[in-house]
Amino acid sequence: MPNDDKNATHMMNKRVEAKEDGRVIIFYTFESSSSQPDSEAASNKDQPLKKATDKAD
Amino acid sequence: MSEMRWNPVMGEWVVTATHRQDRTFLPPAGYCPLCPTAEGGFPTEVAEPQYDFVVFENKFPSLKREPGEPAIEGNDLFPVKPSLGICEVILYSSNHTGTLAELPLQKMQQLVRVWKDRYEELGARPDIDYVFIFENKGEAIGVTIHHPHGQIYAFSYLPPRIERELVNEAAHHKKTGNCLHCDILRHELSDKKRIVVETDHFVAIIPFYARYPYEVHLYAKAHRSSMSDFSEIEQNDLASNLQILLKKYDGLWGFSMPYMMVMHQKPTDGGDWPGCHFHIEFYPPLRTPEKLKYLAGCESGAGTFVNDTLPEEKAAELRAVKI
Repeated sequence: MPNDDKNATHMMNKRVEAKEDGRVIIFYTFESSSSQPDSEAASNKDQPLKKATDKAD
Repeated sequence: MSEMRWNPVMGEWVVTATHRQDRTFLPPAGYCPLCPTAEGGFPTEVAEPQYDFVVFENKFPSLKREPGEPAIEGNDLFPVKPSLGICEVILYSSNHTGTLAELPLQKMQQLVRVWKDRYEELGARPDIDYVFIFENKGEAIGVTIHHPHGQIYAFSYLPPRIERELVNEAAHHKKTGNCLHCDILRHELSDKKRIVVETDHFVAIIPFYARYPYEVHLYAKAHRSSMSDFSEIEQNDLASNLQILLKKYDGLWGFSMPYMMVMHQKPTDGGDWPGCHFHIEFYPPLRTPEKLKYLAGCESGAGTFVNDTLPEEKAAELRAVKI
């Protein structure tokens, strides 16, 4: 079941750059505080997710 | 070449974008253009791996920030205009594999903030009338790149399906003084038969008039015209409801459910739109684990969907999925 942390807060940081061809690219990073530990979130950046996904552009 | 051609028969714009024929299609393993650039590897769209989310303008956009003049001259019968707009890609993760359903709740909550930020930033542009956030997922929808991502089309006009919805919302509001969606929700929350997931501030239902067997509409319970109206708690609750719904989809048949996910919210054209009510619509194309719901002659040619199932039964199925 999801960790239903209703009161978590998230401080969003944006870094806007231009790619070599002029397209805009924006990097979003967050500083989040949670009243409940979310071990999945803590390890997300280092752990590959489980299933393959297929997307259309 | 890219332009917008007016269809006088249907009263709608069609976008031509011939450069998209050359877009990346099912790249082999190790050549994903959305993965971070590896040391010594080919340059990808994102040079660095350290981020929570990345948004960038699509390399093969249907709509362009500076579209240039149409390649063909229009006339009174066949108007043409530049394909003005912005197409963005949102990467959910630097990891090549995974799905939206598998994002931890904290990251889902963050993604809601990114969606809100894109809606507000793009919508603030004077040339953008509608910010359309969506995700196509699964081979059944049409694969080009596997890396988990969503998309945003910022339109310089109101797309026809959106416009039709707005017309009906406005007519209901004029007739009753009520928001059409609020009236629908009052009925659904009372009836309960078509509810799939209910949380504090959001409810996901299979609508009475569902076109696809597992079509779900996820609504803000209170009247909220766009993500800009959400409180912090509501943003977190949307993430919770969305995560539960997506896990139920994946749990239904034990594999990652393909779907189209689209967000409907207030246009950014400066209009009042009192009948507009934020919701997310999901159109999974499968009617069984092996069978697709095809948009065949009746659906494509007449515009009438034939749903082979009952929304009440499919809602009960999804509701019963344990996650």
